[in-house]
Amino acid sequence: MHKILCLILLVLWLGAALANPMPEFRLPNEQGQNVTLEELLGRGPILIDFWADYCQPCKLAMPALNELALKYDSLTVVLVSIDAPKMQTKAKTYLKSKDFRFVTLFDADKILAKKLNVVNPPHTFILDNSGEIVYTHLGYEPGTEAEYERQIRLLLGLDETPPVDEEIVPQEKSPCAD
Amino acid sequence: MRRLIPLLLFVSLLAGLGAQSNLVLSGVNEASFTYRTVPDSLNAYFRNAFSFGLGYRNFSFGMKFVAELPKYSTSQSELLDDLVSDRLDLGWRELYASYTKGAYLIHAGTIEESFGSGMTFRSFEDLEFDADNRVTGFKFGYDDLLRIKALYSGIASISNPDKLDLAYGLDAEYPVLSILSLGATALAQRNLTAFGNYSQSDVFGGRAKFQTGAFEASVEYARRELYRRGMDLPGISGSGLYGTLSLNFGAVTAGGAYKRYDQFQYRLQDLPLANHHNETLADNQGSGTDEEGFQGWAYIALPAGFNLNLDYAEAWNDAQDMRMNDAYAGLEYTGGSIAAAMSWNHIEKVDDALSKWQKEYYPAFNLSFPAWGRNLVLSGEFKTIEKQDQALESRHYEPKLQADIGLGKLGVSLGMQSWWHDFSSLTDSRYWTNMEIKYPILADTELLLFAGTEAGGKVCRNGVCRYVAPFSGLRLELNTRF
Repeated sequence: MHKILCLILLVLWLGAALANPMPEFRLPNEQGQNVTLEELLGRGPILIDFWADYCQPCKLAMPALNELALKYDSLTVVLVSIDAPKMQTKAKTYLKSKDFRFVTLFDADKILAKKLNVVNPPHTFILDNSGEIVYTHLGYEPGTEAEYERQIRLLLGLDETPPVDEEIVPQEKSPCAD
Repeated sequence: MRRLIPLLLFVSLLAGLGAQSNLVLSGVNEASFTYRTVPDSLNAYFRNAFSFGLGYRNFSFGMKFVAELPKYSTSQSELLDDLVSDRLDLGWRELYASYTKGAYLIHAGTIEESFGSGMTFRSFEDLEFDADNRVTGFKFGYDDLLRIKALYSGIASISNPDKLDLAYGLDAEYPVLSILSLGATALAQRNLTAFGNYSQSDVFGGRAKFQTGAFEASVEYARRELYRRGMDLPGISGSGLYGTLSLNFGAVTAGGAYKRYDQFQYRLQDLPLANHHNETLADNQGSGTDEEGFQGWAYIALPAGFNLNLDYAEAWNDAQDMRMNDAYAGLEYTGGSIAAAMSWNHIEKVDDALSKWQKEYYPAFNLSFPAWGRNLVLSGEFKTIEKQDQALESRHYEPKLQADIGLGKLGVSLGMQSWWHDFSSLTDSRYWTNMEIKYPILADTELLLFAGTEAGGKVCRNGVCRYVAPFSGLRLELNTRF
C-alpha cells in the first residue's frame, strides 16, 4: 500500500515537473544594459540560441534564424554568447557587421547556460508566450530551421507547414532588438 | 516503515514543489564508453557525468557528479601504461546554491566569475586544456545600474593539491554617463609556494567603457604587487593594460586593440591576447610576463551576400628578441541554401635568444550546400608548418578534410587528416580517418558513436562544437537531457 502511495506521489511530482519553465535571467546586452526574461515575455514566441564566436555551425544558423525573425513579427530571437569576456569584442564586432534582427545577450560566466545545462554550442530553446520551454535542439545542421519554424507556427496557431508562396516581409524592430 | 516515512515526506515535498509553476528542474546525464587502440594495458575507459539544476522561486541549486574510471588523459604525450590509482576519479565536480532577489545575489559553492575583461580575475573551467580553474567559496552580487561583485574563495593549490590557494576581491562598475561606464577592481590572491609558505598578489585595477552609436572604446589598467615574505625573495611589481576601439560605418566595421603586460602573470586570470587566433607571444613563456602588441581588424559587408573579414596583429617583448605576428583574411558568402567561407590564416613566432622560429599558415574553407536532396557540409584546411631550431630547419604539411551529412535524423561525419613530410611522401604518409554517427534515439536522448583517430582540440562535427582529447579507438556516448 505504502509503495503504491509512494509511486502515485512520485508520478504526480514527475507530471508537475514535466512542465518546463525557462529559468529567470538577467544578462547584459550589447550596450551593457541588463535584459531580463520578464522583459522579453508577452510578445509571442521566443527563440533562444546559445552561440560562440569560434562555432562555425552557430554562424551558419544565424541567417536562417534571422529569416525567421523577419518572417514572424511576434517572434523574438535572442542570441546568447557564451564567449569568454576577452572574446566579447570579437563576438560583438561579428554581429555588428551583420544586419541581423536579434536581441544579443552575453553570458560569459555561464549563469544561464549552467541553469540550462548548455555546454556545447549551438544549443537552441523555443519558448512559448508565457516562458515555457516547448522545444530544445543541440547543434545546427542546415535544414534544422524547418523544425524551428514548425514549432513557432504551432505556437502562433498557424498551419504547421508554411504556404509555398509565403513571403518574408521585414517588419519593424522590436524595442529590445539591438 | 521508519524508512518509508521520511521518503514519503520527501516525495510529498517534491510533489508540492512540483505543483508550483515556478519550479525549474533540468539536468543532463552523459555516459561514455571508450575503447582505446593505442598501446595501453587498460584500453577500456568509462565515464559518467550527471548534473542537474533546480530552481525554485529565488533559489537555485546545482550539482555535477563525475565518475571517470579511469580518467582519460587529454595530454597527447601522456600514454597510460597501466591503470594507476590517481587516474581513478570519482566525486562532486560542482556544487552550488544561490539566492537571487531582484538585483541581489548570494551564492555559495563552485563559482564561475570574471572581473572586467578577465584580465585581473577569471574563475572558469578551461575545456580546451581540461583545466578546472574554478574557485569555491562565497559570492555576493548586486546587478543593476551599479554592478558589484564580491567574493571570498579557495582553490586547490598547484604546489600541494591538498592545501588551498585563496582569492578574494571586489569589483564594481557604474555608468556615470549614458555613454560612459567606469569600473574598479581590488583583488588579493594568496598562493602556496613550493617552500610551504604563501606569496600574496595584490591587484588594483580600473576600467572605462565608452559607447555611443557607432563608436565603442574600452580601456582597462591594473597594477599587481607580489609579496614573498619569509622567503628572502624580493617583491615584484607588475602592470597590465588592454584597450579596444571599434567603429561602425554602415557596411564597414573596423577596430583595433592594444595590450601591454609587464610581470602581470598570476593564477586565475584570462588575459586578452589581442590577435585573431588567440596565440601567445611564445610557446615557452606564459602570457603576461613581458609583452606588448596591437591588433587591427575590419569586417566589410560586400554586395551580393559576401562579407570580408581582415585581421592583423603583432606582439613583441621589451627586448624585441621575441616577436610574433598573426593574420587572418576570410571571405563569407550566404545566399539561399548555400553558405560558404574561405580563409587564409597565418601565425609566425620568432625567439632570437633561443634561435627559434616557426611559421604556420593555412587556407581553410567551409561549404554548406544541398546535394542529392540532403544537406552537405564540407570543411577543410591545409596547414603548412615551418620551423627552425638553432641550425635545424624543418617543414611539414597537415591536410584535413571533413564532410558532414544529414540523413533525416541520422547525422554522419567523415573526417580525414594526414601529416606529410613533403609532397613526394604522400603515399608513404600516415592517414588518420574517423567517423562519427549521431542519432537521437528519443526526444531528449542522443547516441554518438565515434570510430577512428583524431588529433584533438576544438572540433565542430555534426553541427555541434566541442573540445575533445586526442584519441584513437572507439567511443560510444549516450547523452540524456531532462
